[in-house]
This record gives sequence, structure tokens and C-alpha cells, in this order.
Amino acid sequence: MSQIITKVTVTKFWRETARTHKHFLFQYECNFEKMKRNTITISTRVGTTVATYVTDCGVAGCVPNTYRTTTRFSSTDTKLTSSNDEPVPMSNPYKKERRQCILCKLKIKPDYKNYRLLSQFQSPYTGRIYGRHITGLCKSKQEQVETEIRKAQNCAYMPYYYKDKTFLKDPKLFDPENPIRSHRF
Amino acid sequence: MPTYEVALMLRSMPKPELKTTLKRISHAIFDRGGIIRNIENLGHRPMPYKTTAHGLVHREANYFVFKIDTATKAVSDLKEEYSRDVDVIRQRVFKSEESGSNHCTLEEELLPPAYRDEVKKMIEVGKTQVNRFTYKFKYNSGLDYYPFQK
Repeated sequence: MSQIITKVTVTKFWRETARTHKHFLFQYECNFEKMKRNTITISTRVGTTVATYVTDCGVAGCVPNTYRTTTRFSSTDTKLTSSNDEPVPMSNPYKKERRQCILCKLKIKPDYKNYRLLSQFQSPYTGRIYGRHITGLCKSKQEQVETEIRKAQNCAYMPYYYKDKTFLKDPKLFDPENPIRSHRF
Repeated sequence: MPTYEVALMLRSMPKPELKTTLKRISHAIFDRGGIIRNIENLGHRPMPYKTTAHGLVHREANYFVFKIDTATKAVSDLKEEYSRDVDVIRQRVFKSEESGSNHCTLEEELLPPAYRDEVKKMIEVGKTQVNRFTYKFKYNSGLDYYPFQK
């Protein structure tokens, strides 16, 4: 019997102890706290996926711990379908969150009068403005920061060749040693 | 009338004098039909670099920002007047900007080059250009042989 279900692949968040019955009744004892995804994929020995099960909601408490499945002994077999366990259409649960730069995230508009914020984008050694590959800002914000720093320097709010020593211990927004792209310095 | 921000650095002086100076500065705006929306005092503090103005070296200054509405043509006139004022060390006029769209494009910028729109566009443009750095011999140029070493 080549179709015996031997392996139950569960997403890595599930701790599964699966028992195979004659009627392919699976008993899971899951660690419900650790469940993040609500999908179970059951594959055969050959490696093909037999069924994907999606629990009806993502809340760990309401997930049933018993699943009844059928195997494909032949194509003429009638399939047992239960309404609860049918696959439901859902958006990609693995989709990553959209990344945002720190100024967009906090909704800060750089301003030349706020020279303390601007001095965080300035090198403490040379007073030069750090590039986009170091600051990790999006293009528009980086451009705004650069123009505002120039304005502030021109208005004598900020020095050109060094960073104001009172701002030297300000928290670091980024690490100049680990740029996104490598640079020649 | 557009809104401008006039950043002024005034020399350090006692308060009553500062008051008269600020009055003089504001009246210059009013005389040209402008209005003042806001005056910000950023305090008296040492300048990051010394500045020479009207024959004196200044290391400290009173920082003020005037937010004014005035005619565009009056701005250069105002600047000229303030440049003659001995109490004004330095002055800059900026157009006050309203915040634009707040859409972060960082996600698109962090994509690998082949997936970035601007790179795709560059490749498209490159395909339409002739490569000027390689010359291909035209065999119909009158010579029936290739004149150079192959």
C-alpha cells in the first residue's frame, strides 16, 4: 500500500505527535501557545501533498485537535469531506511587513530649526552628512535631511566641521560601521 | 502672499535694546505691507563658528525666526535693509514649506537591482542606445578586403 500516510508535516511552530490509525485519524497534541500558522499539510510517503488543512480561525483555543482524513486508494473512492476542515482562501501568512525608514515611521519632517535631530545624521569626527547607505532613510527623507542640514549650517545653528559636543551622547539612530552597501572608507 | 521664514541672528545685547531691534525689524516688514505670523526665539547661545559683521567679530548671538507673509518683491528689499542693520549679524530667508506626501519608498529601494524600477528603466534606455565604443567594419566601404589585422 503505497498511499499510507506516514509523515505529517506541520509548520515548524507546531509540535506534533501524530498517530496513524486505520481510518487515518490523526491525533495531534499540539502546543497551542506556539501555534502561529493555522495550516497543516499532510503528505504521503511519495512526497506528494494529500491535503492541506486550515483551521477555521487563527486563535489557538478554537483549533480542534482531531482531524479525519481520507486517503486516495483509487480515484473512484468517494471522499469524506467535513465542512470544518476544508481549505479556506487566505492571504499569504508568510508575507513580511513593509519596511519603513525611521523618519517615515515616526512621521517626522526634518526641519532646520530642529538641529539636534539633524546633528544625529552628521559624523561626529568630520561633520559630514552620512549617506543613504548608512542612515537607512528613504530617498525623499534623505534628501530633505541633507537640505535641512545645509540650511541649519548656513544659519549658524549647526557647525560645518564637527558635531556639537553637547549632542555627542545622543542615541545612535544607525551604525556607521555597518552600512547597507559597502563603501570605500 | 507666500509665507517666508526669516532666520535672524542678532548680536548679543541687553534686553531693552533687543526689544527696540525686534521692533525695528518688524516695522520694516509692516512698512512693506507684510504681516508677521509668528516670532520664534531660539535663545541666546554661542555660535558654532565666529562671524564677522559690521567690523565686529561675534561668537554669540540671539537667534530669532520670523514667520512672515510678504510680497515676493519685498523680500530682497527687506534683506537689503537688514544687511545695513548693525544689530543683525546674519540673516537667511527660506520659503516655508508644507509637508508633502508621506509615502516611504524604502521597501522598493532595498530590492535587488534587477527588480528596481529605475534600474529597469536604465536597462530599457540602454537597449535603445548604440554602443559607441565598438566599431564594426562595414564591408561595403569600397575595400574588398578587411584592411587590418584580424
